[in-house]
Amino acid sequence: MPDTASPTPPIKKSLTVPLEPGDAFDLFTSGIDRWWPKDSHSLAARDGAGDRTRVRVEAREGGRVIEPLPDGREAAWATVAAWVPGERFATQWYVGRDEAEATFVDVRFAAINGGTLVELTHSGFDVLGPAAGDICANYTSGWDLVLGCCLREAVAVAALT
Amino acid sequence: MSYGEALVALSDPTRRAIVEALRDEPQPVGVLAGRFPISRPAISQHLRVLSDAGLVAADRAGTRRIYRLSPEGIGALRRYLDTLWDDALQAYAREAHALTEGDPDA
Repeated sequence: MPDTASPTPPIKKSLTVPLEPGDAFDLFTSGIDRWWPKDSHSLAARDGAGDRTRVRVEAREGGRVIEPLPDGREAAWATVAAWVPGERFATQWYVGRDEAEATFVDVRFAAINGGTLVELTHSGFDVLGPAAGDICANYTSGWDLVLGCCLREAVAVAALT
Repeated sequence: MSYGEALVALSDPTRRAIVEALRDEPQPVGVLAGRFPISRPAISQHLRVLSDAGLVAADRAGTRRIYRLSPEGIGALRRYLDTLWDDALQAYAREAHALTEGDPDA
């Protein structure tokens, strides 16, 4: 099948939080389990057990973002590509698919008046190959389908407007 | 339309290729069939799935149906993708505000 040659645009988000950059970084990373919407955005959510899972980030470059599974195994969502406390947290993001086909989530923290500007860019959708469809067929719905599996295809189509 | 249906519809490589072909220009099923190594009924079946998912619509031109991408369906899919990170980041912001208010369990 032909594969699209057009670059797929990244998803960009930004927000301001009333914390110092160092605290904003710590909450985003080491504190991820406090805020990540696990009831909808987790592998356990597929079984309705999202709020009981405990997501954690290994605090170093080369560390992983991990969700423990009920059977005792651990699922890696991502590998930390940049760990700069107070400034930058970047990951190769591959939840739901092969690590070799990771996309890239880059989060930057910058001090502004009274808080921190957090800018998130999710890019690299074009690295995903044509085999993505076969993997996608194993998923039926939800967050991991989108962020882990059909993301490249869905973003490419969504970008048509 | 359901974004879930749209995502499942796009999980098939032939249907993605059809969407890409329709991105270039609206086409009748006969022209589409000539571009793919599968039967015309198979193309029609794929178009039905894409149409049910809201990604493709058809206009009548005489006796023919000309298939095109549906902006409504594609717009809904884009909004859904956007909301994935919106949901996560809003939860992060809520927790950050809770921390500054000295009530980490808020």
